[in-house]
Amino acid sequence: MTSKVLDVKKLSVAYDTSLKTIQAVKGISFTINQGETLGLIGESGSGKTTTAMAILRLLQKPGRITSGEVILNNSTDLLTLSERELRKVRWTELALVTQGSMNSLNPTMRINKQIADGILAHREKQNRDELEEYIGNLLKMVGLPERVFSQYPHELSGGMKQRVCIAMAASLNPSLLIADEPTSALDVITQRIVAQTLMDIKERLNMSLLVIGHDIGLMAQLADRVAVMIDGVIVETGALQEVLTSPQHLYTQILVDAMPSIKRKKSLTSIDEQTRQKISKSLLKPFEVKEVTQGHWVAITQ
Amino acid sequence: MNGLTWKYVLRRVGIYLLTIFISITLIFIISRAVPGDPVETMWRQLEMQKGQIEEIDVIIDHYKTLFGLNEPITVQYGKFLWNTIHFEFGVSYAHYPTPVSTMIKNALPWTLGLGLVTMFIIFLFGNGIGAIFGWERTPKFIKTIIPSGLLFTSIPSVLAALFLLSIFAKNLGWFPLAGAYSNEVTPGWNWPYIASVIKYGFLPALSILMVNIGWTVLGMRAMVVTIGGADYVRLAEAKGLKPFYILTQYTVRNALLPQLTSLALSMGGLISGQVLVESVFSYPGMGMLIFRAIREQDFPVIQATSFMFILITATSVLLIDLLYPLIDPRITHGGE
Amino acid sequence: MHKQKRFFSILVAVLMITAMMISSCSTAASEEKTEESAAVSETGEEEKADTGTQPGNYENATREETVYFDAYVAHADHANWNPFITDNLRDVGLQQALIEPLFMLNYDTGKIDSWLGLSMEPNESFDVWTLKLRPGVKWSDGEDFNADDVVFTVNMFLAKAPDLGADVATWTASVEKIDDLTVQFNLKEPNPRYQLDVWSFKIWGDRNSIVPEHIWKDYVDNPLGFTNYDPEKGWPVFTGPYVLSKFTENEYIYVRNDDWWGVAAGFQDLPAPKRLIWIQYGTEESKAAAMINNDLDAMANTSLGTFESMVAENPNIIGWESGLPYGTIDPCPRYLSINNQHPIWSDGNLRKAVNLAIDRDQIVSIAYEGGTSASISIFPQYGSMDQYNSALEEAGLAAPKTADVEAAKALIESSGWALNDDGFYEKDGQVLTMSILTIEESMETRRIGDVVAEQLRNIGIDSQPQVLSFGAWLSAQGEDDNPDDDFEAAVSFLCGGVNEPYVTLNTFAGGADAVKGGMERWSGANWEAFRSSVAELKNLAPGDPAGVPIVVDAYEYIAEDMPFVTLTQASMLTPINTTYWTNWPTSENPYTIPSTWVQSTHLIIHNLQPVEQ
Repeated sequence: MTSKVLDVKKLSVAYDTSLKTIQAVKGISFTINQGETLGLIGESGSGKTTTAMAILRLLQKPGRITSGEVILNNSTDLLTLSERELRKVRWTELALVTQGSMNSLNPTMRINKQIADGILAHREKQNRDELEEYIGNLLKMVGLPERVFSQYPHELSGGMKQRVCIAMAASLNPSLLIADEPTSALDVITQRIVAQTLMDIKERLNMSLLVIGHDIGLMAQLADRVAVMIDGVIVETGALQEVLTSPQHLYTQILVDAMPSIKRKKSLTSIDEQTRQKISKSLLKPFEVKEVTQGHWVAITQ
Repeated sequence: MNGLTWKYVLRRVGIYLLTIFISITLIFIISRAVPGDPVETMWRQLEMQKGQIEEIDVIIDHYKTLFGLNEPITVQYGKFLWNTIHFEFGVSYAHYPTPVSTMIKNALPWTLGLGLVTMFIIFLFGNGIGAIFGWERTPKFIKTIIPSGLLFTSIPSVLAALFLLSIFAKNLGWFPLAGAYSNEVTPGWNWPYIASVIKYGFLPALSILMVNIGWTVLGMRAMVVTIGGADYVRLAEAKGLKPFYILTQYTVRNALLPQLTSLALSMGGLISGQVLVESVFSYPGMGMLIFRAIREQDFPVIQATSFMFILITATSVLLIDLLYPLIDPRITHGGE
Repeated sequence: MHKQKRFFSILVAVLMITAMMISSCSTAASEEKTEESAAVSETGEEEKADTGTQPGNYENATREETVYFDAYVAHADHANWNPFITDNLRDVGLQQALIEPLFMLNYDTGKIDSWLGLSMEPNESFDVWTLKLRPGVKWSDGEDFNADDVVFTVNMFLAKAPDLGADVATWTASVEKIDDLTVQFNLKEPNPRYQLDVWSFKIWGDRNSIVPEHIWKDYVDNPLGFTNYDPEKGWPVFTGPYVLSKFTENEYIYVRNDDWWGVAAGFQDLPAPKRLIWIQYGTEESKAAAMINNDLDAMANTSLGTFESMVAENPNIIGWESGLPYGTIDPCPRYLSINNQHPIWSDGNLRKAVNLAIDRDQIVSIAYEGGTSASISIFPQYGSMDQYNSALEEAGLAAPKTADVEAAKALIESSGWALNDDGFYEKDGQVLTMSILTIEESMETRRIGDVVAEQLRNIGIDSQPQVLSFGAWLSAQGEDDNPDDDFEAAVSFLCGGVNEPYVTLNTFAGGADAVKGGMERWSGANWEAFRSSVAELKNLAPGDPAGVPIVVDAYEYIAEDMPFVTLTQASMLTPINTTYWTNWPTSENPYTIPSTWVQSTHLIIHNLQPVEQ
């Protein structure tokens, strides 16, 4: 039996603005199994990054979690942890590679120190030489040259920075790595390299991975299973192949159609406004999530 | 080399030298454009203060020749330029024949001491308080206390000085009304003297500090709030780092550099504020010197002190500009 | 940013109020504290009564043994105690504690009192003067002060004028020693004022101080380059009852020399204060605070407002007078200078009209708030000047205290001017204007200018004050001797004689040459007659009663042309603190003038008595 690394149950997130409260995530549920990669797909504003931040409890005001549970390793509900307990779980169990590689590193701190401070926060009294060697190995593992060790972020390219982030996230061998748009703002070739690095690391360290993105092509490269998200709701979940070959929800169908494929040689289409509105409207009505085939769930409006 | 290129250094130093040259020229032009003859004005004013001076016309003419005021204007300018860049400011009219450079040599350490110490404290405490002020984890009650410490921010430093003087020196008698050290100590490296210098410098420093620290605090607060939302700070949180460590190593560390720039920019205001504060406390620095020189219509001293203030300001801005690329790894000048 | 500024302004206002409350409480607290410390020092005093401050070691004398004077200027180069380099050094105690004058003018009697000099007698033609020195005078290093020192110093002046001793060189041809205590001066031309003008304290100090030959002889080639300071050798060496102890950046400290020559010579007892400190405070506010806190015993000039607020907080603070104007007379009376070469104001009728139109009592009450008095004449009203002023009053030549508007208007109209629709006089399409220059740095002249302009507008002269910086004020009056200058009038000051009218009157004898004479550029037949009166006066000894009718004559020519208009006496308000020291000079005890930056301070120091604590 595969154990669940992460079990998200009916998670809701709201943003309070002065005018009204906006429901960004509306009671979503999903699981990630040991060693599995789940791709969370959705357009910008769909609530996928909010979901990730809610799991990590890094939501910034005015965002707040209104209800739900986030069970890690079948035992702890992340949402009930005290700050102190939460700090212990972070990076050791739950690591993050953020969106936008440009700004995720401290511009005034050398790379080695940025990796080291995360390690030192959780591992007492490290031998300095060992620590340096360990960080060196991490960097080697993500395919970065040795000189990166003592460089500043601005001296690295976007792809290198993202690989530093991956190395950093992997430094304490966490059970789950959340990669939020890990390849956005990178050129196509670099995207592939970064994606490959992510895969390698995951395999090597036997982590689970939650990849968040809008690019179904990237998902196709990384994910075992995908969850499609729109307007704060997961409309379809299923094994990658199954979703790609037989998308059930209208939105998924459009997404899959939009995916460029060498076989199909089809031009990129975007969703026309009318269809998009239709989908949004249908999601406002009550709906039921049904399992169409095994492990393939779809939201069906009643 | 960390971002500092020769091209940049040369250009920056070039601008610096040009500033100095223009300011010397302006000082020369302005002091000649002022109506009235400086020697005559000074002696007539002395006469007004002290009663008739025998043979005043002979004396005035004698000094005019002595100070080279009867020479052609171009010769005067050339000499002035040459002498000024050699820190030769001639002799004081009012304290003849004391060389102006002696007066400046006596005054400069006090001004630099007071100014640098105050600036250091402003930078240290202003940024520290600003960081606490802007930090989201700071308790609300502390955040409400902080603004009361910044009360003096929008008032002129001379008012702050008078205010402190009247409370702590006049009414409470905790601090002296004037001077730089007590007459009971012997100047030198001994504790009583140092303690006395600190005691005498306390109120002047506090006046400058109270007026100027507010902008540093507010600047830092804004920076901390802004940087607090940066991706790398959020990632630091995700790393499970301790909040205070994040504040110092991630937020404040990145906010300090822009704060350094704004410090350089506020330099001029800081120095001009210090001039007035020194005159209120009769602190024997450059501010007091220029204040007295204006009162005594002592032109060489006015020229020299103005030049020194411009030099100090321009030099500190130059230093900060040159140091900046060395401190901030992101900045590269001239290259790339 | 804007919001923040407003927020802070409001907070400041709130804090100011709180602070005032705190400070009023703390005043009470500090008063209590003073009482406590007074109690402590009382007990301390008893102990001291046994030990006392050791003679000759007054460096750490107590507050009760020390007099604190206001150093209203500072000396730039602390290690330079050359008395000839700058006036500023002399103001911080050098001439009050160290340098004693040969003679001292008594403002009240007009007589010249002796000090280091015993007497100085001219021959009949006033061109040979014989100086007798007081026997037993010694320099602070124990050497005798004698004729050699005087001859040495005078010869140094003659060689180095005008860098030093400019006026000595103007008059003196040669000097010779008759005996150890007698010196003869041979003058270039007769001068009845030689003793007073050149060798006495008259207004501020004797710039021509005698210096010890045994020290200065090594520096005679470049006397201005000699610092005269070496604590090891006890320099500076002068004859005064105090010696320099030390100085800080803003304090100059002198201690009593118990071996002072005056005691042995039977001249005077030692003065009571054991230590004198001239201390410099930054602003009028801090000086006032120091006075209120009893940290300062005498303050140089202050304003009436500051004085009144000081007295309110500390009743031990007094002035020269016990009521208004509180102050005493300054040697430089204020007057209205008029350009006698100006196309319009060259008309004497108009100038006389201005004299009549001015209400001097009103200037005193509005511009000075009662802090001075109206001038009788252009002379300062010291006791020694009484004989001249009362003669002028008898002759009907005194300046009127109030205005005679009708008479003034009649005079203007007699010159062909008529009032226009705006209420101003006009002739040939030209309005009668008078622009009055005042000095930006001098609040006093600005306030006078405002009142005078208002008074002139009331009689139909379109008059406006114009504020200029001191330098601009000087040059606008044609210091460059340009008679076409369009300057019309200025509120001015005249620092002339303080014991006789000659010096003052001579100022107007220069005529149209503005550099040599007054800026008024007076000329014409009356001026010529005036000049010969002044020339007569010049040959008389100061204070000679024979001069009185000559002064009246001279003033008659002035009254006929009215080249300038007398306004007010300048006031000098010098607050005194009587907490630790009494017997300061006041109008009831006028042994000297109350200024503590001038050389007559020697008299004050010798007169001061400690208050029984």
